[in-house]
Parts: sequence; C-alpha cells; structure tokens
Amino acid sequence: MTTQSLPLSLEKTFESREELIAYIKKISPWAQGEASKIMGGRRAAEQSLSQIDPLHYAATRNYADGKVSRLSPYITHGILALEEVRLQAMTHVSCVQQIYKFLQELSWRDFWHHFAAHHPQTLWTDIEMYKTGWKSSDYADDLPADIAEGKTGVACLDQFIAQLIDTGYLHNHARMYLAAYVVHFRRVKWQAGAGWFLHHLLDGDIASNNLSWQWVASTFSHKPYIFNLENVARYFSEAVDTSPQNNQEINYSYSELTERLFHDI
Amino acid sequence: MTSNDALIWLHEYSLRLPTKLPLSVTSEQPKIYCFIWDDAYLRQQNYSLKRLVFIYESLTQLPINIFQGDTINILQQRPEKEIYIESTSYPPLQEKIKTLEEYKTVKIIPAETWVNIPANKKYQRFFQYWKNAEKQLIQK
Repeated sequence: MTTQSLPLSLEKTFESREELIAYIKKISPWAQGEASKIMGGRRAAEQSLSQIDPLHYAATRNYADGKVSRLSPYITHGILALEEVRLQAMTHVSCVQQIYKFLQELSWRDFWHHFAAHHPQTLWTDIEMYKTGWKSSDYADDLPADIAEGKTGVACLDQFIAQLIDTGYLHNHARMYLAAYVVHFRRVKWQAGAGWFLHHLLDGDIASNNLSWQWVASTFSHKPYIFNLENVARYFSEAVDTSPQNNQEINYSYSELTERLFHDI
Repeated sequence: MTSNDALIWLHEYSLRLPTKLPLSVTSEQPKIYCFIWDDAYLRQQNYSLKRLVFIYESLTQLPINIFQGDTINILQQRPEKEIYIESTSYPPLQEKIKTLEEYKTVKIIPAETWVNIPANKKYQRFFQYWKNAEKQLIQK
C-alpha cells in the first residue's frame, strides 16, 4: 500500500511584486535571468486590451512605435481569447474592413496551430530544404555566445537582443531581423535560434515561434527572408542605433547580401 | 472534496477559468480548479524567470489552488474520477495528458474556435487558410 500525502499548496498573496519574484526564485532556484517589467494576469491583460488602436495598426505596424497590440503574452497563455480581442477591436471601427489587416495578423497564430496540429513533427525539423543554396549540414548547431549575450558588434541587433533578454518581448519586425541574422548572416540552424527565443519570450509559443523561424530560414517559404541596415533605419531609426559605422555587417544592398550570404542562387 | 467533484487542471497555456465546460459537468457539481507548479517540468521547458513570474502573477489572480509537485503524482492521487483539461497542441503537455489517461478519465475542454476549418482541410500555407478565414472574420 502506498502512502498518500496532500500536495503542498503554494502562496498566492504577496505584499508586493518584489515579494512574489523572491518567492519564485525560492521555489524554482534554477530559473535564469530577472523578471520582466511586463506584468502577468488578467488585470494587466485587460489594461493592454483597452489600449489597442486597431484602426492605425495596418499603416504603422512595421515601425518601432507602430500601433501593435502587444497582447501576445496574454493570448499565448490563454488569459485573453482571440475573440475578445476581435470584439474589442470592433468597438473602434464602423466597418470591419477598417481592421482587415489587424484580423489577418491575429489569424497567423491560428494558422500555425492548425499546421502544427497536422504536422507535429515539423516543430523541430526542416519542413523543406533551405532555398539558400546551402544544405542543412552547412549550418551550425549551436547559437554563438556573442548572439546569446547581445555582443555581436552590430549595434541595432545588440539593442534588440538586450530588449529580448530584459523584457521578454520584441516587436515582430525585430524578431524577423534577429532570426535572419542568426540563420543567414551567421549560418546557424533555425532550431538554435528558435530555442533561444522560446527561452526568453513571454509569448513563446512553439508553433508560432518555430514555424516563423522556418519561414525566415526558407524551410517553410519559397525564399529566405533577409534585411539590411537601410530597412532597419527606415522603421527603427528612432529606437535603436542605425549608424553605418556601428552596423557594418548589415550595411549592404540586397543584391550584395544575396551574393555574400547565399550559395549559387 | 469528493470523487464526484469536477477537477479542472489549468496548464500554462490556459491561465483562465474555462468559459465553457463540457456538458458532462453539471451546474450543481462542485468545481475545483488547480495549477500544478511542477518544477521538473517547468525546468525541462527551459522557461526563464521572466516567464515563470508572468505565469505565477497570472495564477495569483485566479480562484484556484496552486499545488507544488509532480503533475502526474498529484493528479493520480486526487479523489476526483474525472479530470478536465483545456485542449493544447504543446507536445510536452500532450505527453503528460497521455500519461495521465493511464490513471484517470481525462476530458478535454475544446479550445475556443477562431475560425471553423473543415475537418478534411489541411492548409499548407497561410493564404490558403486565409481564404477560408477571411469569409468568416470579415463577414462576421
């Protein structure tokens, strides 16, 4: 006969956020890093939901200060349902066409989950071959330490990495830049970068994250996604250092980059 | 707590009380909601402190118990016959559910539907999916 014991119930009331953080450090001492300023919970989710600006989303979403919702950590954890977001967005407009792009972007997550449900094996394996002229075996398995630590020497990317480590959140455009840098500029397997993002992102969702990395890598798209300094400067010049002298590695035209990064394509 | 109570296990991708429980849960039936702080599991997922704080902060705002220990051991020892779990596509959680099914009757709470996808459809690219989704979302 086995002895049954009641499981330990954990604390739920804290005097302050600092006290809650100290408690988590005590019950899970292995956890790395520090807490983000982004708050968890339904109250914070509702606060963020009340501040969305879906009407100006389409025109501004690619810019650092664009009207993106930043709701993804709450949606990922099921704190907010997509339908709640849709209903809130509808209160801002007189016609659903005004939030067409907003609804389309919200749908990406649903698509990734649909795809992953039918092809769970693709979450960590290449769906197709790289369309970069390189074979999968040409890519490194591990993420270099300078990337993990935000010391690549490319100023704008190091600032994005610092933000990822500090807050656990990144603008989608910045995620694409970092993913392209890891896979194409440094020729590291997308899996290494995907795992790194999943570790840090508060909205880390294996289907959305890993399939997006495959999209950038070209193992789940028709061609690799790349970017250059001009593109970063266009959308993020107010947010990060986009000076040519501090970003030499990405300061090329697209045709020069294609020549430098890819093999016979 | 009795074996006829409904036990609803919340995982890290379902940090809210389900809005719709399956019909097998009656309105009079006492409901017990719990989250299990399974340290070995959380560590295995390589979650950062940022993520753990976010999850815990969310839990403190819910009327639930937070138990500490191994998920399967705890759920296995519960007196409730049936355990309700919100649907998940996260493979490590699916594994846990599969293991739990060896000991308990597990009932999956379906995920809320964003768009209806015909059962025989397997979209390979987003814009194939969007053709169907667009009709439902834009004409809603």
